[in-house]
Amino acid sequence: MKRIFILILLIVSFSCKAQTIYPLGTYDIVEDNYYVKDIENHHDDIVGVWKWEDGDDLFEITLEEFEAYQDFLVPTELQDRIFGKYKYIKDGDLVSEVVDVDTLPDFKLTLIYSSPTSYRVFIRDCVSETGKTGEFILISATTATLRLWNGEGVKVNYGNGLEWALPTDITLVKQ
Amino acid sequence: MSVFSGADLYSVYWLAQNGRIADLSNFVMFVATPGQSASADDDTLYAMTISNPVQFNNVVSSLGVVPDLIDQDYGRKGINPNVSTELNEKRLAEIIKERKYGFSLYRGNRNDLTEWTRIKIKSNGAIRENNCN
Repeated sequence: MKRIFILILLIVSFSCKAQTIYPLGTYDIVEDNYYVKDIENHHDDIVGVWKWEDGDDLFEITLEEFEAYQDFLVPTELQDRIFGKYKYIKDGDLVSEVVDVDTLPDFKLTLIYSSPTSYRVFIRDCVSETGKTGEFILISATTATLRLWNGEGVKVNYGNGLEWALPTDITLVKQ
Repeated sequence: MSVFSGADLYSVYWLAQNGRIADLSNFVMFVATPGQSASADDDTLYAMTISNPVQFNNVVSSLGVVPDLIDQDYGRKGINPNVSTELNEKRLAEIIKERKYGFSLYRGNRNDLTEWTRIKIKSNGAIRENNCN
């Protein structure tokens, strides 16, 4: 009976391997089992609806936080992640609208923490079926700039031949 | 970017998914980059082989149709043109291991193309270099 108890104790102790928590922006992690957590609540500064308007043009993004998001390729790694959706109206006509906030692998918009005021942006344009990278920089609590550019390298058989349809250099206001 | 880009990796997966790589075991992809500055001293040379076809094909089936997925993964991992060549190299080796991409990464000697060093990550997170000559 004592041996069985020790065996159970050993199994439980191995299966309850501690998960280490790291703050956002931690990259070089050795452990297999960890959680990159928004300990200082930086994501609160960007979650919500951001809008750019210029005459009949409007670009609106909605950002949501997914706490302890489990990456489908590395299930032992949890992260607090930001995913989003967008709507673009040009000259009063709807150009593109993402209705749902999708996570990986079908994401259309994700922001990754670089610093308390700067985030890397990865966005997919539903019109051209291509993506851009970029930077979202908080200028104030209610204002941010969004700049997009092409990522490094060339992807084979990429996109559908249509031109990029979304604005690439704008200032957004939090709603 | 001083190492293979996310676009480079995606392109290999796309080629495999669409039957454009006849023999995975003999496939080698090379990249030469200007590194972090205009100085030739910063130039880099890397090669990749598909060392684990099972892992590679798992990724092909899950990532092959999502071309920007690896780009955002690079962002999550902090691989970008603004960090040092050494850090990008280490993080690329880490991401290959963590994500089970199925690749092996090699650093070449830009002055002697017969000299190649395999870059791996040890369990303690340090780089292990194996000379291939």
